[in-house]
Amino acid sequence: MSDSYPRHSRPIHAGIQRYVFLGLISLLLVTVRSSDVLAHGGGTPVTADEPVGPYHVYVWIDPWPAETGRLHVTVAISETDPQDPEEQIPVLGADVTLSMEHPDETIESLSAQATHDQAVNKLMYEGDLIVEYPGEWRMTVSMEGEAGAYALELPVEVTGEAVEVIVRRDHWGNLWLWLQRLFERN
Amino acid sequence: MPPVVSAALASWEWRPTILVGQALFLALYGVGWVRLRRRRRTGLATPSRLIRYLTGQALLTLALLSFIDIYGGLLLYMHMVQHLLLLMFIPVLLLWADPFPIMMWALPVPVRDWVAGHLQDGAPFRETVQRITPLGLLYGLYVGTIIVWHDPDLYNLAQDDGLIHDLEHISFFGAALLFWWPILGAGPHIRRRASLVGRMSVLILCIPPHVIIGGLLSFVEFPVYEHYLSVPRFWAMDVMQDQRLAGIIMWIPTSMMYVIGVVILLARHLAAEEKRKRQNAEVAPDPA
Repeated sequence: MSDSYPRHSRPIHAGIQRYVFLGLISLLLVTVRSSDVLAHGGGTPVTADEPVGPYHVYVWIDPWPAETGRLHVTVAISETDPQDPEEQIPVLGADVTLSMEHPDETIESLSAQATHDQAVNKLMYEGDLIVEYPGEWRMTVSMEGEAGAYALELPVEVTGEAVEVIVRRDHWGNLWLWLQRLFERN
Repeated sequence: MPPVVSAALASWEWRPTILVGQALFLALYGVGWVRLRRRRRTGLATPSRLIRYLTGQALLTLALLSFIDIYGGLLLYMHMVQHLLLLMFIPVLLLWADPFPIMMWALPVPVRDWVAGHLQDGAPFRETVQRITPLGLLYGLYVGTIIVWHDPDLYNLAQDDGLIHDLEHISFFGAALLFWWPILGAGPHIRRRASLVGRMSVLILCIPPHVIIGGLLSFVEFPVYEHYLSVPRFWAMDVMQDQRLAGIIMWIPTSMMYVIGVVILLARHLAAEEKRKRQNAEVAPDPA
């Protein structure tokens, strides 16, 4: 053992082992809690390289299969490079809207923006939809960029119990949601 | 700067679990280093060690939180760069800063006693660690971890599941810290230091697995990792070009690093020998 660090003759504190053990277990749990930080912000690829007008669209949804509650959607849009028709370049700064419609018209349609700001990967767009009811939903990813406005439709079967999600709007509520999201990602 | 490049460089994920862990270790090292300097123990707490530690931690942040991590899921070669950092650069820099004895000085006395008690001669923990950490076994763990995680099924699984991806990086980094620990002779000194020939040999023996995996990635005519077929190709690089570049990174610069490691070990050994000879000559009586 190296003698370059101090050693003392004081008795070992009786509770230290327990505290260190608890600390290590807590650290392990926090680490194990981590999940789904991936290049595309998490989720399962639902469609890849789908031609939509001049665009090629990729969509990831988390969780997949979709469940009631928060649905996190990541969208990547690319288009053909005008200087090299064989290459794709990302479409940045487009206006991307996610919307969902339930076959039961009494259930309110959902809509949310997917933006670069919410995305981990700033070449992509991410947004959340709060789905309270299960069923055969239809998701529409609408995108409006310099090349025009186009939309991609996807069937999304949502399973699980109907839930009521309260969206907090005060500052503390927003902070709590932000922290929740941060730790869910991590 | 082109918008695509600036957007890519702006992609950072501030993961609290990693940041809290890094802050804790930085605080321990910083407090220990300052305490040692105040006690004039400047032989251990040198500015160069502090710089190496800070550089290692900065690279760790870069590897795990920056665009390197985020784009590793879109580009295989970026993932290889990340692995190179986690397996070689970061562990070497951190261990070269000899963090263990310095951090010990940051701990409260009872904790310090508790740790020191477990590292004393005859302590069961010390004996267990001595038994399970021969250099050959650590080499096997290091190389085995690299080989296992490059299996296509496991690699695809890691790319599609954040938890398994984290586990991959933890196992890479953990195995690398254990492997480089006896090579660099960092504390705690639980086992007798491995011979120079032994340390040089294991470094040389690290080259063939990298050459084989890198060569396979470079020369096969099909995409090995299916994950990369389902992601956008943004950088004028198709999946095969990406794979070839990844193979070359794994093959050539990685192998070079081990060769450089051998040269550094040899140079340090020769310098130490030279110093010892000089000291002996000074101590020896003048024949005249």
